[in-house]
Amino acid sequence: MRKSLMLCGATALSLSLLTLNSRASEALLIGGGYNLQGSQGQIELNVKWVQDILKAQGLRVDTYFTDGSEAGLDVHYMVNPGTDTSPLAPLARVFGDWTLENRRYRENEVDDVLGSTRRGELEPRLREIFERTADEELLLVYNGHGSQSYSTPDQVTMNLWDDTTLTASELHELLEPRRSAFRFVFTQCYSGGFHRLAYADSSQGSELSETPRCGFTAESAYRLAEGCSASIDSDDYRDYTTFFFAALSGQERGGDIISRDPDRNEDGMTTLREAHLFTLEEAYSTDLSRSTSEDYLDQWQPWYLRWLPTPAYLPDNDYADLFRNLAVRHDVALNGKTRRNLRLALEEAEQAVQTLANEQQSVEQQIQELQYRLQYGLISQWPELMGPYTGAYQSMSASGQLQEIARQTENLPEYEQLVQLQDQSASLDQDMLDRERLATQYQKMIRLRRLAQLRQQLEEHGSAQQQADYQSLLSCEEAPLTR
Amino acid sequence: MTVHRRTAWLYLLLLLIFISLLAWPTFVLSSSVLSYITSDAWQLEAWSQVPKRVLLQQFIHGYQQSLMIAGAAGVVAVLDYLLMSRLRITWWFSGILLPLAGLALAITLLPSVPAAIPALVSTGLLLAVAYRLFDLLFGRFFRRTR
Repeated sequence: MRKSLMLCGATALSLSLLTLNSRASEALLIGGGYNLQGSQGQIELNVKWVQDILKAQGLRVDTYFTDGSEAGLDVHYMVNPGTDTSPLAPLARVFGDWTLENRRYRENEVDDVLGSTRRGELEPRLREIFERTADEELLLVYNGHGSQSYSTPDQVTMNLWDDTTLTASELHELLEPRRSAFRFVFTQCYSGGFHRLAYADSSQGSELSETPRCGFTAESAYRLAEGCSASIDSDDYRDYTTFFFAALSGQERGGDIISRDPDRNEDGMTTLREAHLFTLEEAYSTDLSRSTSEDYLDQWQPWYLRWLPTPAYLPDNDYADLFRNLAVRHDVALNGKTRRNLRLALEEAEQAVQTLANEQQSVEQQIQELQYRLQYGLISQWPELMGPYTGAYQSMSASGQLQEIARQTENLPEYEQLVQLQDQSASLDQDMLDRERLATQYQKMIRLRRLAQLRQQLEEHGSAQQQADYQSLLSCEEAPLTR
Repeated sequence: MTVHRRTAWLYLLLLLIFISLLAWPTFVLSSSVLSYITSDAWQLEAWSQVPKRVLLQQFIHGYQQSLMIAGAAGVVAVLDYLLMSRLRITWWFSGILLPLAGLALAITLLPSVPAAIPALVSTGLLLAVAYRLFDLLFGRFFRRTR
């Protein structure tokens, strides 16, 4: 009896040690653009916010951002043209880039940055961290930009500082020494290619790797993420991070409490997968986000099932629930005509985007013609304006004549028309983004229906190995930030 | 007589190859049309969201994997021809074995997939139409009389 109690005690101790060894205590946060013009202040804001959330969870956070702590500009941000008008703004409207007129540059203000994200500097650090934490769970969060692959999905890239890159397949190689779970959250364009990290052979994507690896990405390997679209410079930046980490922290980026509890099974903690499902439901953006298990479902189908029509009924699972919630939210009636109505709504939204795009093109053309006319008139009167980097131009600038020209330009009737057209163009951009977001909601509903069907098909037709693989991905995703 | 028999065999072989090659594309076409009609075609999303090369890879993979079944469809077409084409009255029904084979395939191999029956039966029907067209266009070169 005493012997068996001792055995029990020893087993319990070794189990608890195992848990202690493998639990996540460290997170890796990589962020920023690939150069100054590609390093938006919104990314920096996200990195700082995510860093705070991870630290609040008691994780040690290793942060790598743009050029690290080196002196030099590495972030750009936008000023509000309404409140921060420069005296030369009229000339910028006529001659230059209105976007650049409202752009400012500064050094990053991210705390505790350990180094730059230059490939040559980051890679050895990653190698060291992956080896050091080989027996511990590790979370990698990347907030930046990415590029597409024209071959296999594992050739998509993280675009790092100084225009360097790291492909999914190269990251896959770095992960080789790891023996414990590795999770990732990638929010860049084409980030879906990084789901190949979960497989033994990243180019094939068939057999899962021996150690659990899973993650969450803003998009598939083939689509731009919202963060890479026009909204990068707008205040209501809604990338995957915005919703995913709001779910994990319980608070939005602005500090407001989130609208509903993401803890679906009500066990008192929000797992990464629950945060992802929350994002799928709540994100009103142009992202069609996905997890590794969803990517697996997408790829899983055997050839004879892939092309067959799917049944009208929806099985009972998470994705079907999400679909129904979204359908109610977007006034899509749940009846026999749901699928048809969804298609019609999507078609309508896509047509609206196309109409706005055509309108935008015509406005842009009018802007260009008006700019040429104004430029011609101004240069006829002040030929020095032709060469902004010449001594004559510098003299004009030093004497204050440039400001005088700007004032005179403002009084031209054609200038007023130009301002109106440029404002109209900006407003059309916003309308187009809104319509794209709406269209994406319908696409998302169609995708959720498909995921619901795929999951059911896997249960009915998948082999024991395939079902075990899917379950292992699910259990990898079902982890909280810290245990 | 020998020459006639040889051309008959050649015709059967060509019919077998024709139907076998056409089976997978016809299945993909009929399934996609049915999916489109029911407004649940993933192909529509894939067309705009996934590179065409990925769709082509999936199509080719299906083509390779289905070769055995496609070959069986070719054999069914040959059997149908041998059974039905000799008499004018049965010739009117020739090709009927293909949708029936589609139905049998759906019931035996994919009983739990409701969409398999309409997809495979319509595939069989389309193949029957193709077989009839093939017979109308080329059959006369291989036989002297019906």
